[in-house]
Amino acid sequence: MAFSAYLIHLGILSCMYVMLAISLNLALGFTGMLNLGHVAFFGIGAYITAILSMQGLPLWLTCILAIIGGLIAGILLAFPTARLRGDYLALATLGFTFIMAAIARNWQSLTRGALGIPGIPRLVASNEQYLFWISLSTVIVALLVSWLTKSSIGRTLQAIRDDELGAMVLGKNVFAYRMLALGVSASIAALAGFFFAHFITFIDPSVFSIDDLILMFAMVILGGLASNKGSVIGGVIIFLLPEPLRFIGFSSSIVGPARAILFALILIGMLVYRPRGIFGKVDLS
Amino acid sequence: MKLVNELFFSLIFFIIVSACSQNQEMQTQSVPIKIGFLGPLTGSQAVYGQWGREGVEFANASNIKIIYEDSQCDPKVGLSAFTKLTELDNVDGIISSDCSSPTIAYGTVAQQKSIPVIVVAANSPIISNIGDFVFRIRYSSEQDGKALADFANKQGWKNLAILYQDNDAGRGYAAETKKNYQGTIVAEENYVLASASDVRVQLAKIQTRNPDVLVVLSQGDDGAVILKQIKEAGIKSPLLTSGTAFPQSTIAAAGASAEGLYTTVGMYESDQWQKGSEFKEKFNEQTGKNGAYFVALGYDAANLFSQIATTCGKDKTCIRTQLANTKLYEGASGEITFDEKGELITGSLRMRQWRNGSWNVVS
Amino acid sequence: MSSILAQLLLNGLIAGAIYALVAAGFSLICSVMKFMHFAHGGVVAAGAYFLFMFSQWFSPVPAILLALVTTVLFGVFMDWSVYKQLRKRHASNAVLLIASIGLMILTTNLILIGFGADVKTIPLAQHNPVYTILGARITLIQVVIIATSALLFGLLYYLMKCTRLGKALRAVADNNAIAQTVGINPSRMYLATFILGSALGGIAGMLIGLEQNLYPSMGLSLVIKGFTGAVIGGVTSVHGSILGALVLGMVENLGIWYLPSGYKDAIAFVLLFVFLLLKPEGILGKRFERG
Repeated sequence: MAFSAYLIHLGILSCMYVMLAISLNLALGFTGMLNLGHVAFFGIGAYITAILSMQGLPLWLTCILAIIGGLIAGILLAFPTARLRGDYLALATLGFTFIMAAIARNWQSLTRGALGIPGIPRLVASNEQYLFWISLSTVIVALLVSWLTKSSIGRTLQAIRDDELGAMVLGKNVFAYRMLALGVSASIAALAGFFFAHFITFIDPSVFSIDDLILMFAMVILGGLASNKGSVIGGVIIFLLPEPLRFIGFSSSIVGPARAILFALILIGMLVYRPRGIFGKVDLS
Repeated sequence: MKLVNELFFSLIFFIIVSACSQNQEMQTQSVPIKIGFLGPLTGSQAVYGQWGREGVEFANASNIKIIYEDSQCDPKVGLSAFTKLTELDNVDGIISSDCSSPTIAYGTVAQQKSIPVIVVAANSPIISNIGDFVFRIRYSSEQDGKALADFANKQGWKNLAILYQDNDAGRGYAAETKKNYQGTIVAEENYVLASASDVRVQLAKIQTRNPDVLVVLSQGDDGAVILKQIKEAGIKSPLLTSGTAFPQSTIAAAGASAEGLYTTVGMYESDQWQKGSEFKEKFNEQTGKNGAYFVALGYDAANLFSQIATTCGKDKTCIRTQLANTKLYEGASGEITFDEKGELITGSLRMRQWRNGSWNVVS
Repeated sequence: MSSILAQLLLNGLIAGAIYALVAAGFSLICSVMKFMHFAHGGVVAAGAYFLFMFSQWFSPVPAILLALVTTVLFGVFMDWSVYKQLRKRHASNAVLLIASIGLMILTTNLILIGFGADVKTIPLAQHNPVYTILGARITLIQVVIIATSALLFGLLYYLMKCTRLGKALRAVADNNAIAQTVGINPSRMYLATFILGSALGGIAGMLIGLEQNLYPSMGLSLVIKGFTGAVIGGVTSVHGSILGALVLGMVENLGIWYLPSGYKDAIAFVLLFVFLLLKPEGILGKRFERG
């Protein structure tokens, strides 16, 4: 009971955000893709999970299908945006997020639209077990991404980020590498969506909200671009930071905006004063 | 491999925390009964949280302690706040003056943990089926939608058009209106909140079908801008809406555009309920504000918990049973009796019309 | 049917004029400074809320002037406190873009704390007569919006093409390094850009505030439509982005005449997506790379 149960709850959500931060950093930090569509992959994973598990599919299968769904969505987004860089890529991926939200809202026979999907079964009954599974998954994801970024693939990704033309001259297939990075990043976000759907047990089109996107960016920037350790630390800090505000006697109608202002100030402050974040190795180009 | 170390340490930390959590049950009987309040105190829907809060504060129930948390109308934030209330503050009941999605998220957990919840604001039909620990003391969108359809039927309006906000409440109203209406639905249009500032094309589409009556179902304050655009488009057919969807602040903001509008009205707003009128007067006297329906509901929710607390103490199952057995409780918002699903049983709603700056009950 | 078509076109024009007011300031800043100033939406919202605040204390004309001045100061403060610091460090435009999103969120929440979440109406325009043109209906405020936009865009065109300031701005926009060699001080041009852009944003916010209601997140919804229009028309060309915003207003309004109205926002974003993929420089613009 009591305090530990609250910590477990926060632990579950911070694991979810750490997964999102690690995967966003793979695209943003390691590959240099300014991807504002990350929250769309998260939402796609959550919706696939919700719809399929309501059809009675077993949990392990919905998990795999959510990951595959994220992978496909990432690859599909990589194709049309292959030629876009920087600001234009940011706008196109943001547009992708909005289009996904509009589909969730309007394809009612599939998603029930604004009514949302209630009664999604929980992954496991108790939060303790839930924390075990989600932290296990987070560790696996972190190890996988850390292995990937240290491998020759990761070195190529960073070479593409730093000097795309140079990588091309060396005969690297830039498009394939970018597609791979976006696909893996998207499938991890979808996995986070899988855990989200099974934890909250209800989803509606608000999973595509821009607010969560800001949160993820704040995590990655605070932790540092192209640093997996940074994503973990940034994710935990940004998620937990506003929680103490509940206990120091602020009026609860100030806490909400204060949270958002805090995130925005951290984001801007880091960009201005410490652009490489805590552990970052590169600047955002 | 530093990263691996740190991850393992955090994993081990979490495992230790989960292991520790099984034991230590603290129960202190001396403290008053604690009730958690959840609602959007910030964000675009904050008005619903604020209303409920004003009512709860006005109740001034001395034997219960209320702890307020902001859900921001977001299921994740709402669930975190709920967990804080139930695990850290050990609340014995929840008053939810909240949006539907967070209410569904934490209502489901409350049901599993056997924590009684009184829902003040949320509208979604899903809430009826969460379970026997969740009670709703407002009249639902279904009752509202049915009343609108009945009125249109009685007036002999043959062609009906609907414009609704695309959210759970808007869809609930619209579905129920369509189900009970006997004439032809000639147009059905919707809009989302972010682009609520412009419904002109929807109105132009509606206009070409020449409806005898237009049912407008918005939620929150965007109603004023919609009423304005309806008048500007020159739509002359009578307008029907739900009284809870168009609160008085919306009517005031709409100004002349609200002239002739019909809304549903419960006993509380139509001043047909002695206790309600007394409450409104007292509330206005002390705060200088008009007590909206949701303020009275918040007041009733706090008083219900306070009254039951005297017999049940911290026994949550007892609180639930007492709530379920509530019969003809004379609250400020009306008479409260729950059906087997924990929904409020109400008589049929009336209709009223806004003319020359005041309401006239028409049925 | 013809009156319906006229009404649809007029609705498209009104929506387009509103988007264009937002898009003009956005793309002016983007063309000179070479980054996406998302927080322009915050400047627009600030314009509306400042007018709301001052109109409670003053009569309309001083209220409007005060609101305009404070909005411009607010925009310039954003530039000075954040963007200028980032420019000093030669930050990439991706950094500026993320910082501007942060500023946007910051503004929204400051408005929330300052004014509360409930919807506000500016009490200046209680009387708003409706006129009929070719069977289409239009209100006085809408006439004012269309007329003001046309006038502002004319002035902006004159300023950019015929004055020394405009020529200097275009020189910085075209090639910053060469502009410096002929003696144009870029930091003064950046200041001028922010003053002009924020003034445009402030006027947009005030007019939109009169036509619609005020709510804290209005800036975000408006800047999304504004930049969509700007990208369609060409984000580096002020005239292109005005054209793009008008196209967006028309397409949205005509589009949901045929499609269910739930797809209204989807139409805008599909259009954005298609343009970014097929013609990222927009109808009239050029692609931009920073310095």
